[in-house]
Amino acid sequence: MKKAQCIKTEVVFSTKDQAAQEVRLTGISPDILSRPEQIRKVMELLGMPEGTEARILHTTEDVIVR
Amino acid sequence: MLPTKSFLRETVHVSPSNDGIELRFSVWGIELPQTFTNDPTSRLTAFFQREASTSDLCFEKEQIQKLILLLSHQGCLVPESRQDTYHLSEVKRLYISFCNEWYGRYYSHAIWEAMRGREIPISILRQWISRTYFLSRFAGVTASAASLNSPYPTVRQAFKKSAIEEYSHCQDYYYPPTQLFPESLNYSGSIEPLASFLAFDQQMLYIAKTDWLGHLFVALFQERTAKFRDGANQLYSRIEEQLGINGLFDGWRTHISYDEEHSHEDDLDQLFDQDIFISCEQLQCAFEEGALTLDLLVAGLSESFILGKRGINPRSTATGAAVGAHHLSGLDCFSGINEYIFQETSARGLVTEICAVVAGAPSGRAILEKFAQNGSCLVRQLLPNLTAECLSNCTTQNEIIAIGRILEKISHESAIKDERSRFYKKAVRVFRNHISSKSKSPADFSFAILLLAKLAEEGERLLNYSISQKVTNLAANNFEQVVDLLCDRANIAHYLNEAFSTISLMEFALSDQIYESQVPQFAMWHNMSLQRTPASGRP
Repeated sequence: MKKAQCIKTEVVFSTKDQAAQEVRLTGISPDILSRPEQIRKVMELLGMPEGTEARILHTTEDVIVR
Repeated sequence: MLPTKSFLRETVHVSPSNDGIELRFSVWGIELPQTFTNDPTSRLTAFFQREASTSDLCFEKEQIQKLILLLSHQGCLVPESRQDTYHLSEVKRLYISFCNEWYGRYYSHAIWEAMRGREIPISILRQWISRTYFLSRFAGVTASAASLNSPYPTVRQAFKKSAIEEYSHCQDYYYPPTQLFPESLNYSGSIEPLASFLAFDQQMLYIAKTDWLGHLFVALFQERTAKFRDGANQLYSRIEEQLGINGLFDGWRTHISYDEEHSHEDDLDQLFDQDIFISCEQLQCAFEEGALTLDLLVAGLSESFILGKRGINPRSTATGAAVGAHHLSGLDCFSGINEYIFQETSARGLVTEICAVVAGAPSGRAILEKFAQNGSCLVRQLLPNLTAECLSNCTTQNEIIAIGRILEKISHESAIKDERSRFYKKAVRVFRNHISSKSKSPADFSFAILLLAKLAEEGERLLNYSISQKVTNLAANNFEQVVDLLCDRANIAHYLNEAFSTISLMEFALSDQIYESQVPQFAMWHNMSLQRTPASGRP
């Protein structure tokens, strides 16, 4: 049985025109950043300013089987 | 990396909030304080209005840069321009947008609000459990088709693994429990799928054979939801508590763990790491096919919810000529009929009898008239290719001669293109896929076409059409003889179930959610809807 992989990686964000402006996130899967249900976690990782609030509008109640 | 020259997607809703501005996308909303938008030199407001791109925000302050990063990774941005080709890594980035948009549509469905209620109606629960079972039942079939038809060995291998690991799960984990499907409710035999479940399965099979990328999009969309296990497990526990049945969903819980342990999501996700380029037209087709398929998946939620709310349980399989309400539940064409014994002993006679019963049922007349006016013309132009497909599956001399003669007679129809089919793409595809699924058996294929042809004729009769108005000829006369020749007289129960299945598909294809609505369009580039022409001319 193959075990689920635990991916640890460093994610670097930078804009093309501003190489100096980088955000580095170490030790997380890049996948988490695209997860809509993890929006609060993403905001925490990216360090949104005070006053920015996220809320889940639609909870993911069930998996979609296949 | 922050993409340059990208705009905010039209599917991100921007609106003023109490103290600032709110963005809504997928399943979330973010409220931004006024500090984001009150800088008169900032271009952020123009960005929110789709009048500025990310390139115009390069020199904005850090908090705005971070917001753009967040929006980028959540799939809220759309590239400014079309590309001729896309590397799979670029496809993946677009796919995240596609996926998250569809999670928003799927999880905002009204059924979930009902599922959060303290007392979930039992019929909704039965329909939802039935739906999950049928989703699982066909997964191995479509994965197996994908393992044969993808042009790339890695994709074929991934889906062969998926087929082997999924095919038995309908029996192992999702078989409808007898506590909810007891003999006292006439569930001694098997249950029948709703038309929307069949339509999704048949469309998945279609893309598994013809569009490997569109199929990958949908399969991964499903697998990625294993991450929603916490919400799912809470739901299962609440329902077990409501019903007082501990462990009812243990199999379902085990299955989520199985998917994760066998890295099903990773298996499919890694397919995007290949060094493959996709043409713009092929990618556009894949998104269109994927969207149509997910639209049918959502239609399954709607049908389950609508029927469940009305207290209608899943339909049980007919086992003889005598049918009861439980064999007809959910079929509007037979509404008001609680029991009936079919007298005819031939398949052809059964078609005639069924048409008479439907025409006499309270809702039957309206459905037959709608089919005669709007549906049968869509079926008619599909017939030549589908008959050719059926001929390719014939084995005996009787089958080959009978189906071949029909193909010869109707082959000129392929030149006839009904303009309406462009506007009713979903209905056309539902009919096409269903009839195609029958083409494996020339007898079942002929029976389904004869039934549809006679239902259309009955609708025309009810509409008092004159001969010149009868444009919906589906070659009924030709199929009558073939049905007499190929259909087994001893198997009336089989043809009754075939008839109920085809009638449920007809009702579904003519329903507002299929016939009257369009599939949401996915934008591959900014203002695509203003510039594009459909890439796919496929029915």
